[in-house]
Amino acid sequence: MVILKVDIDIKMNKRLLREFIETRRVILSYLGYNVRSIVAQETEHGYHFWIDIEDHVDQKRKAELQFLLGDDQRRARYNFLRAELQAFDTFNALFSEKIKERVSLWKVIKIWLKVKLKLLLNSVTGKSRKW
Amino acid sequence: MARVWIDADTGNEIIFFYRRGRPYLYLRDRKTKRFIKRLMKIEIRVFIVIEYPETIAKKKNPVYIDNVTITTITPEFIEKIHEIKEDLIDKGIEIIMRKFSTPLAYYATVSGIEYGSKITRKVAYPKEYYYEIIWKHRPKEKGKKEEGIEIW
Repeated sequence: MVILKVDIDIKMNKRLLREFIETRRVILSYLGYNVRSIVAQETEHGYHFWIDIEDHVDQKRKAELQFLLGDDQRRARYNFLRAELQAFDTFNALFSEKIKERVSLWKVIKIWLKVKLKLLLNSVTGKSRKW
Repeated sequence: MARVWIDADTGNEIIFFYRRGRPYLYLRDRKTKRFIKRLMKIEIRVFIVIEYPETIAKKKNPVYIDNVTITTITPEFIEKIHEIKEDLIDKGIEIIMRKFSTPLAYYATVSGIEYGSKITRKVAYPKEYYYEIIWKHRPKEKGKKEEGIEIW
């Protein structure tokens, strides 16, 4: 079982959504894959799709299939890099909670101090830990 | 009170609730709301991204970084989920600081969080967490990857 995750940032009406799902089935069957199920979830900007296919495919092919199914192009570009590094499955995310928040300077300083303090404590107690 | 999240692995729902004072996690169908299976654990994945393009890289040393920190939690820890998320974000930033430099961490963006019903890594909160980081400097260069399990 392989799950393909597709992110579409366009809102669709019911008819178009149905047609979109059907055309994904057609694309996959043309490429020789058997679709088990397609789950669509509405998001703030569009839809997330989970497409379950029967056939086993490697990470590179998964990235290619997601691109062919209309996945967000920016996401697809990074997915190819992730597949090249055998990290596609880990980073192929459809967020349950989208944050998109820059880390504050205060947070960076806080973490830096925490790490330095930990290192200092380790040196006092005799435990060694590399930065 | 019940809490519901979208399962990032299947598109169904993960529901958390108390029954007779005990916490439970179940995977349920998104449409019919029928329970599919009981979950003993769920996986929390925090994604951090750094895009440091050539336009802002002072020494012409652009970099793209993808970082994920993962842990699994049992229903007993769901009440602490906000704290766990914050800890995972901190750990992700700490890894970037360690691997690259402290100033670069300031360019980090926490892109999102996934709650998954499939356990992909054998790590458990509060003992340990898993991290994976990939990076690439220039389009023509090959990317690099590092992964590991660390104690909390």
